[in-house]
Amino acid sequence: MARLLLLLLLIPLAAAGADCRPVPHAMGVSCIADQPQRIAVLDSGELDVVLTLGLQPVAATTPSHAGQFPVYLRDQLAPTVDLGVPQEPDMERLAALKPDLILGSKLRHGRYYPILSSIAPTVLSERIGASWAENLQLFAWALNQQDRARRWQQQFEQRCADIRQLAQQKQQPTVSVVRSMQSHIRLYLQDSFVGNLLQRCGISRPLAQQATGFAVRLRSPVAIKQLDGDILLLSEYAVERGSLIRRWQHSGFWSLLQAPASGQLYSIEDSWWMLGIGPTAALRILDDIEQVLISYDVD
Amino acid sequence: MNTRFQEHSPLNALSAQNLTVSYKGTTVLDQLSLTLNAGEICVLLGANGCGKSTLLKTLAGVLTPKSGSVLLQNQALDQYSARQRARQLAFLPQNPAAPDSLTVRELILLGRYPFRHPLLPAGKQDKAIVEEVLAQLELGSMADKPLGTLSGGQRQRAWLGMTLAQQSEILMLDEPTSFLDLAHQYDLMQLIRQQNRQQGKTVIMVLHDLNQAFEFADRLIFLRDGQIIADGSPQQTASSPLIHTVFGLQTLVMQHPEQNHPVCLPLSR
Amino acid sequence: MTWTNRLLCMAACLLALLSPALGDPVFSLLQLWQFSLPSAPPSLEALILQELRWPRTLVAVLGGAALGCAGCLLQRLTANQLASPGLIGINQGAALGLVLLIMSPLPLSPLLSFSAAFTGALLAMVLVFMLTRLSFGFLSPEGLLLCGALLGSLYGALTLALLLINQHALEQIRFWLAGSLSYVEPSQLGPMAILVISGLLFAFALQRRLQVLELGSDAAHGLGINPLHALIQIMLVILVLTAAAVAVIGPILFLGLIVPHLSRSLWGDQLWRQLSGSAVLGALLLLAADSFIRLTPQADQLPPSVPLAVLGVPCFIWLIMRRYARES
Repeated sequence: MARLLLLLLLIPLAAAGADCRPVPHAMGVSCIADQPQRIAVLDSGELDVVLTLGLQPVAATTPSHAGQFPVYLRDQLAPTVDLGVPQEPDMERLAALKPDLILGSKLRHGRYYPILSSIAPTVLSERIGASWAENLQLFAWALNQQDRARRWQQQFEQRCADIRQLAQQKQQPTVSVVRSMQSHIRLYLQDSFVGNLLQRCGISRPLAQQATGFAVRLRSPVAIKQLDGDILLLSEYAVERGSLIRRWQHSGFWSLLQAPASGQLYSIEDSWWMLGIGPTAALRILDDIEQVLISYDVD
Repeated sequence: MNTRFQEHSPLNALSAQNLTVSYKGTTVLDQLSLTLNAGEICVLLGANGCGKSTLLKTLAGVLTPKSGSVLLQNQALDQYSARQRARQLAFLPQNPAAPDSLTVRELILLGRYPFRHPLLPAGKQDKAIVEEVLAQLELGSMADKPLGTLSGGQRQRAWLGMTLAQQSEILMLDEPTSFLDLAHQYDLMQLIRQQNRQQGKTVIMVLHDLNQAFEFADRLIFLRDGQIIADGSPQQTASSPLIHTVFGLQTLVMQHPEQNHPVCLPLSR
Repeated sequence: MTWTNRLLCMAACLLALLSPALGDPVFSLLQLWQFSLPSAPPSLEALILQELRWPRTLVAVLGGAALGCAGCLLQRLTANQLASPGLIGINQGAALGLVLLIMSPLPLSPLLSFSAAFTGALLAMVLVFMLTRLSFGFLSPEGLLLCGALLGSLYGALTLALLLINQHALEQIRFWLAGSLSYVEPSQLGPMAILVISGLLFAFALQRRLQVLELGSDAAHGLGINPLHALIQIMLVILVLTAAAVAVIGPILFLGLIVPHLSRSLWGDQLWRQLSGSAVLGALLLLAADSFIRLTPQADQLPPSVPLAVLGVPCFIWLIMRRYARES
């Protein structure tokens, strides 16, 4: 109740400011400073967006298992306060930093919206993953960096077209994307970040991975054939903590797969393929895909 | 009957030298020495807590003395393996307990444990001995009944059967007649005497009933505060001053009007 | 051998032989035979049978027999029908060992996790023994139950605390804690089989000794047994059986408690019968529960303890009511 009252008091105050831009988002409309200076991001996708648009956040969350910022972003990242895991960001630490903009997603942070918006104007995307391109547009607007986003978009379209052409040259090999967790295997489908990205750039997927939805989870190697493709890209979540695929690789089932037998098994980096879910990660993935496709021989 | 017994029967079956036993920090037996002769029925007597059960358990090897030693056929008891020891002396504790479903025959067969191979089923000889014991104790008709369905007297007979199946030269019984009614007490004592007289077994037991002891024992050992204060035949030891010293009770000691043993009648404290 | 005995033994053997055919996909008898032969050409079907279903069946049989047998030994040793290896800290010790391994920098290989769970259980029980000795002055079965329950809850609390500190260990151990047979590590099968089979052999070798011990420690002395040695030997067998099973299939508490009761009500409480009955019934129940699971859509996630408890608890209650009605 008290929180609600506070909220009712704060919203009109924030909206009343003369130098702010109203930004509609998943939870309503927030009024945001012309050039936000102190940005807090609640997930690695938002972190990727902010860095892609040439800004630095004051605070960010770290993926729960890794306990650190994604490897591929670390070089670009100035010292940033760690807010803990994306699922439960540290609200006290966040409030103490006095941010002027908070970026997150309704999917993960919708239930915290009342508190978040009482700390600072908050912009939440509807979802994460497949909506990464729309999220970029939304956050670029909130950050007032539409020009940079547009430039990035052009660069991406160009790269995408290159890849599409390359895939066609190689007669559209099917690309299987497999992520090995500790106790299950995930096959990413159309509604995931990776699935969406590959679809946009004209990469064919194996039949078992063409469905809509986020991911297929496998615990038993009975369905191992769903992993197969002309090219098999394998990402491992935390190898030192155990990776189920390693056990499968030691079993007879592994011999049922075509891709490893024909030398088309590639290890890919979990941090940008799976954790990033943002524009910088997307370009890195396209670089990887290009490499793999170039070395792929059509028989 | 028991040829093994006759072959090596020494005069002293069991002896104790300077036994000191303590339990939970207090000394129960203090420098106690004792020699038990083969073939006699020896009864340990004394007030509650005088150490008679402790002495019996120490002689049986259940308790280990703090100092001193027990000699079984002139060899220290602790040099016998547990199995070897169980072949020489059988011990029946006070109020023994068994799963109710165990049958009389199974219980008696357990008496063969020290002789049996740990894995193989009971051999012909073991089975024959069990049948012999069943017949001796007239338990044949209830051999396959579970102990839980028997009366107290029958159950105690079955337990005695288990110790008899051990075919040991020495039988040690801790208050075998407690919880039995008068007639069953008498029956059991008769059985024990029969074992002594016919099989030549040495019997050492703790009894509470003085008159029972006078009637059935060849030798009585009175204990007080962990020490032997009298040792002799019923005729030698049956005196009211001694009984007063041991039990703190005034008694009238007289000869049994029909049998050749003393009896004692309580008077007052 | 009564007819129920024969029937159940046959049912157990039949189920053990046929259960690999059950699951997704279901195999016909002919397929089961063809694809189970080592000479079968490598195919998905042959791999499913040879690398998944047969090891899984073997683990269910071994684990069920081990837990049933250990439960029976413990209930007889302590003369307490509520005793179960799950209640004296063995499972909790295994869980703690596993969590400590996950949090350590050591790699998480199947063999290492088996060893960690096994060692955890072993050390946990050594501590229980020491505590019993210290607080009771001697090793009594009742003391072991009490100290085991006490230390077990301490191990449980420590495990929980460690899991809260290290959240990602939770994901890893959650599956084990539920108790599952869904993926049998080939490298765990060997040590488990050796330990369980030798444990079972020792259990039967020690059963006469346990029978003597049931007469009380004084009577046991009189029959030529050192009761303390016998107690430790039997506890060791219980420990090895439970730890070996639990390290692979997780803590399936229910079996150790209910199987000895079932066996007793079917074959009476003559020790040899109850013990062998517990081994057969334990194997049969776990196998049946696991075969049932394999026919459900949740085959890879549902732990066998769920159908065991859902179907077993009502049976257990019925059994108690029947016995109560017969006795009163």
